[in-house]
Amino acid sequence: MDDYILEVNNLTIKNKSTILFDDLSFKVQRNEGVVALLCSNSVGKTTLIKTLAGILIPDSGKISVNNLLLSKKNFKKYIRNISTILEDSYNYFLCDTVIEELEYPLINLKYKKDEIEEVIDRVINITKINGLLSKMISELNNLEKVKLLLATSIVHEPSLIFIDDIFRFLNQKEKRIIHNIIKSINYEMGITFIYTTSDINDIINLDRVIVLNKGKIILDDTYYNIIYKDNELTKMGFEIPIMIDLSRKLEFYNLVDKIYYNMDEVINRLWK
Amino acid sequence: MEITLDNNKKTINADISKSIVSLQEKNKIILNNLINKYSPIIVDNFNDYFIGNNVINEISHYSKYPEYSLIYEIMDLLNMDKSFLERDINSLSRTKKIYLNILRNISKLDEIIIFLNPFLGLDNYNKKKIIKLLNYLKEKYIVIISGDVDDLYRYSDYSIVSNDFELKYDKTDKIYIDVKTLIKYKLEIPTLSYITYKAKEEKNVKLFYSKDTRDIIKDIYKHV
Repeated sequence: MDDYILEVNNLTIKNKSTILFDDLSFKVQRNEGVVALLCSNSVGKTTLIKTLAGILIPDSGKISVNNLLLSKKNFKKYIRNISTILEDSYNYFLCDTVIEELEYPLINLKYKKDEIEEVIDRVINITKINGLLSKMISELNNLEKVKLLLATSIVHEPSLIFIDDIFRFLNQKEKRIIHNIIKSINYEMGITFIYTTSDINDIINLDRVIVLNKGKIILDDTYYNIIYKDNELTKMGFEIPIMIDLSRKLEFYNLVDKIYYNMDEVINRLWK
Repeated sequence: MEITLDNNKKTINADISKSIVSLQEKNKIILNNLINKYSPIIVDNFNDYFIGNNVINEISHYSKYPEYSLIYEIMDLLNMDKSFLERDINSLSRTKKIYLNILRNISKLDEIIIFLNPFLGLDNYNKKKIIKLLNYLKEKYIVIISGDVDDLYRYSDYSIVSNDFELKYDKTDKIYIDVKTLIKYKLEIPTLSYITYKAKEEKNVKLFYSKDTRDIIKDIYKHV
């Protein structure tokens, strides 16, 4: 039997008279782990995530998480099942220090002191923020802020986390660190992630990527199948990362037989 | 116009007029040096604190006498119509906020404008618009860029690199194909320069340095 963590049915979202998303339907199974929604700029990524998170009301359609329909009646239960990291979250923290920021939601949820310590111990190990606990939030760099956002989003152990393209604040090296942390959280805690991005570097190796353009789902496949549609992606405005572009062109001339991400490997493949 | 930059041991005078000058993010000392000396306008993609209700209001808050003719020219360049000026800031997408950030800064007019990570978070379509804008501005102002090394190599005319002790300043092509110096300075190496360097160093294959993937492919094809 299918075990869906998220079901989106016939979702339509408008911005005044403009249709941002038109009759959108997709389902995500619990075991899919990390799913990316790849959208180019200004298509309404933030609006979509806010709608899935129950912050905005759609014009029509239904959204369910863990078989719980998003509605006025179920709202409290619905939001206990999810966490949402918005782009704005990056600039707005509630507390002064990292440890206070981590404790804050747990205190609100009436966790006991020893429970709080136990949860925070687990969270800091997974998100690798051991060195940050005593720091002021104002002292954190971009990477550390994103790590903290991930850490605070998992303290109440949601089933699903929606992320609105927070990766854009990071360079490629930092992005790799965050994607590894996301994979660890999924592996260790079984939390599913759904995130939006406009950068192909953020979808590398994912088992499921949904490409949205002009309000519709254009592609819904694994990263490996999607990246071979590079011409379509370019037409939609996505930039093909340089190593992927190079590999695809070398493949065209039968000089390599797969996509390489490491330059040394390409050199060794070309001149054995 | 000439700018002067110094660090521990060396001072350089760089003629950066009509050029897009690039600086890697790691070169914080040079960047601070530039900021302290010239108090330039800094356009930072991360800065999305807005105080106005709508776009025009925000621009007026930022600059007492905004240069509207320039603002209109830039809006035209970015394919935005005048109705953008009336838009409520809360209704703007992240990309449009980046454009507003550029408009409000440029409305102040100044000799030096620093764009910090101007391409971050932009898709190819919007990136091309920013490149068009930078090329347009270099006729009027001095534009300094820092950020992704592949982008710096592709889009800038001149580059400044430093390892905190030595300064190097030259045509981009020369700096970014001098891979040994970049390694010595622990700076990032553009992917396309690296393939040419590695092919020579490890396989004794002499490829041309190029900023265009297609040219590199053609050259590889000849040598494989």
